[in-house]
Amino acid sequence: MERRSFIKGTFALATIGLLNPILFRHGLSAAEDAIEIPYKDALDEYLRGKKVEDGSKIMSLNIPDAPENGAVVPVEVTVDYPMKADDYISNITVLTTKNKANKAISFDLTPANGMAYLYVNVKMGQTQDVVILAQTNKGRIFQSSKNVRVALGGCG
Amino acid sequence: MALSRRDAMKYTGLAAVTAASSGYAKGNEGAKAAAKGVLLSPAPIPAAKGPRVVIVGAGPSGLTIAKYVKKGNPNIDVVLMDKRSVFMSGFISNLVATGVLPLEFITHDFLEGARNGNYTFLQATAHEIDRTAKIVYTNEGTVKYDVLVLAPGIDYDYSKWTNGDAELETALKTKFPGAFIAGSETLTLKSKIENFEGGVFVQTVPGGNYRCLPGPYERSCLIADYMKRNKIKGKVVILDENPNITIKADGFHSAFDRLYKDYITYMPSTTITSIDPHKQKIVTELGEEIQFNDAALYSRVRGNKLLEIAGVAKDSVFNKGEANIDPFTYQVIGDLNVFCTGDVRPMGFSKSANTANTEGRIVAGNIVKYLAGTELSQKTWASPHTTCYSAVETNPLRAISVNAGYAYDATKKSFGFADASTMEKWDTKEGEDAGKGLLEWGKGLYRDFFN
Amino acid sequence: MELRGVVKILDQSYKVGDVVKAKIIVIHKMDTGFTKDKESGKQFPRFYMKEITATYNGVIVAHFDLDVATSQNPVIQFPLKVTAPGTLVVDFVNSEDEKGQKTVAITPAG
Repeated sequence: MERRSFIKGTFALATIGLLNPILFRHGLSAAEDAIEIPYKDALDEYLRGKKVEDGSKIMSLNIPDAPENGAVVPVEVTVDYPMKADDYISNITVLTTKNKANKAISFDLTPANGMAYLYVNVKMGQTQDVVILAQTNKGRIFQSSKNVRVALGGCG
Repeated sequence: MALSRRDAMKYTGLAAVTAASSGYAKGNEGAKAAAKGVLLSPAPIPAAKGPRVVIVGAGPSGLTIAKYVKKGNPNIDVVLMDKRSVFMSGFISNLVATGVLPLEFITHDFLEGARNGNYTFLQATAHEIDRTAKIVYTNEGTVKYDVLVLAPGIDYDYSKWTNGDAELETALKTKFPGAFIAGSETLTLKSKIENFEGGVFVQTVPGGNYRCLPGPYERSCLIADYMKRNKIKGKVVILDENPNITIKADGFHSAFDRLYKDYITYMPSTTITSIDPHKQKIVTELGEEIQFNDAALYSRVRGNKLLEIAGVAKDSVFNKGEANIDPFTYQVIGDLNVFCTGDVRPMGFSKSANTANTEGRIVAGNIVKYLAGTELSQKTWASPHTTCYSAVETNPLRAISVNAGYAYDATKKSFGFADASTMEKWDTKEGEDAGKGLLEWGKGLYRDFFN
Repeated sequence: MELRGVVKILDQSYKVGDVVKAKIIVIHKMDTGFTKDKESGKQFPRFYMKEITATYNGVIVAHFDLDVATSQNPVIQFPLKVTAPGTLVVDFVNSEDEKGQKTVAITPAG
């Protein structure tokens, strides 16, 4: 972990540099094309033909109705399901429904996690649903979703 | 608490007698009674000669509304009040703080506005509002209204940094004010920069819909420019809660890179978890520690607490305690006689002087219509306009700018930008012209407020 | 790659057997490839943090595949059952196959 110290009279800032190389892409090929991922495609890819069950009773979602900033929407999900060696939630996936690319994150779990929980910040370009899918190691799939209203923020 | 005017007058008389006879003998009691008498009696302003519009807050919004309501119908009695005795603008203040323009440029006379605008200016602090009896209670006495406009501006919201610790909040406000409420804070900032001998100067950028999106970035450019010009070994470290520069990002990034590479360090997505104002150390969520020599610590903002006093406050999606109004008419939900305008509006428009000025002209026109019996609605809404110049370099003065209107999207049920454009090429002739434009833009605003 | 980020355990104190919450913050673009540079009109390429793997005393305890609907500067929290003192090592890989790492000590009380 980097630790920068700012000492009066000396500037130990040389290591930071003005531009964080990760912030501003350097030398990337112009051929990195944008990829559209329609929600339906993302969902079909996840289900692979399996049926999906209503997860609203076991999945508790903590997601704001109208977040301050659509670019950073906090998504928190807890799945009330045992995490036993032979029966556990093995994946939690978060999708959106109206972005250009609707995949946010896929989280693989094991009983070592102790419980089925995930928090992630999701980007939303407009009012739409966040869809959470939870899959067990035996292939049962649960689904729950929340509609999120996105408002105009500031001047840019 | 609705006293009739006659009762209030009676009470005053009684209090006066009490004070005269026993003020000295009984000490505090007489003084208290006299004070209460003052507070309940009418403020020393002319009696209303027509329907009265009372405006609390003489910033860009209030000043504009006072002038244009009066212009719209001279028979309307307009009273504009502010707790301050002198007007100082936030816009252009970064140029004053860095010694480019004199203090006089941003300092103006409320009385001049009143003389030219033909309205009554009352220097007073409103401390209570009775919306049933339609009375504003101030330290100069009561002011009755037919229409009330609350344009009190922002308050700082230090809660994320201090968790309610008033001692810490006071230390931050006193030692390292954000300088986004013009006045003493501007003088403090100016003094800090004039006396800066070297080291790290921290400028924070808060999250939420904070006042003046480009302000902290413009200030960082100008402080860096000051260090460069005066050969001061210093760095401006920008701790930005946002993931990227919030406005005119290309223009500011290119100024940071090409003009101030050795002077500005920009740290986005930086959430401050603790500030020690005595050790002058900041710790971030990522565990980074920043030691600073001086700073302007700009916290999040909220609606002025006067809105809570009036019972019209509501947290918006962006900030705490903003106005609970109809976004098209600016009228308080459930109380059509009260309008809230300017930075307290909950819609995500830019919190800036030009926006408040263009909005103020529209709302003033609507208040005149409303007093004439028209019902306001989405149909009477018109978009305010945001025009904003930011200086990035002095000698010559170079600036970047943004221009935007707003539109309501019925399907998305939210406001968005309309006709938005930016001019970010500060290094061209356009940038130099924008520098000149910045001064004219500022002067134009002062003229509209006071002339 | 030089990474600005952190992994920390949110629980102040915990013992063996407790389930704690680990928090990962990493400063990184999550560009879809659909946004354009205002000045040049060129499209910003798709560039994002792609994969995060957390290993606890040598055992993988969390694996994330990220895509561009995750916010810029991803913030993730996940649960972890504490079994012994040790280290939680978090490895990052982005869409350009650049790698980085952050760690935090696991220090159960008692």
